[in-house]
Amino acid sequence: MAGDLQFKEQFAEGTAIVQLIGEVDIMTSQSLKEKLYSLVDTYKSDLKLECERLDYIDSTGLGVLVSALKKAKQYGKNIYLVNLKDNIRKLFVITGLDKVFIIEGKNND
Amino acid sequence: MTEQVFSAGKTENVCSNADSIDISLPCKAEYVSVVRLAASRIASRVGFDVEQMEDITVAVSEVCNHLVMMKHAEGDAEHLYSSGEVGSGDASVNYYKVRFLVEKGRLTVMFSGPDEHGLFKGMDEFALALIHALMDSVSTSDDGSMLYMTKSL
Repeated sequence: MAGDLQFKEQFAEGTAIVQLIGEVDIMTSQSLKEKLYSLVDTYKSDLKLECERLDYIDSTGLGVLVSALKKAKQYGKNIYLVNLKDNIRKLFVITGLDKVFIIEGKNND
Repeated sequence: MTEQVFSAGKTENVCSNADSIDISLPCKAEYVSVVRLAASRIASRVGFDVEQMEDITVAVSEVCNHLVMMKHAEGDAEHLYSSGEVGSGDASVNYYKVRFLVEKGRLTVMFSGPDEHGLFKGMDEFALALIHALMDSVSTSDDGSMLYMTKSL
């Protein structure tokens, strides 16, 4: 569904896990920011983003992830990106963010 | 206004046999996905593979994002997200224009903003990196009012 982003979240084994479903773009990046900031402030834990069903992300979304990582670092925590699709991982490589985030999962270990 | 933006003199590097597709959009965030879908379908018509189509879609979307945000950085933030206002025809909302020029094995995308600012001015560094990496060439007109991107098979 173009322009739509959904979240499914849980807290397990000391880590906040949120599944991103849909697209992160100029329309949805603000809701992603609010969600991630809320999770970081609530749990003060590592944050794991399950991205297997994330179809698209643009620079506004990348910016949100970076700002959320900075916030997590304030608590000494990290953000993990899990199971990025190839087209999205490519954007992290181009921007150098593959060196900033911990990327796990298929083809990323 | 938009009728004059893509004048013949601005397209001299493009084959005269190119098919031209113009889209004019309000500077509102909700319409960027419209251009993204159009870019994907047009790229498919040119013959790009799925990965190349994705490259073009991302690059086009980044420029559109920038044009929308550039407009709203000028103190017009209430229109950046205008849920509930779709179809309002609000005269205060400016427009930008995207032209796709389809040639055999090549796609050129041209952008003109609602203002006369340089189109790279203040562009997000991630967006710039993506646009330059994903397209074969990216340039602006001499006066900075238009941006051109090209990708070939």
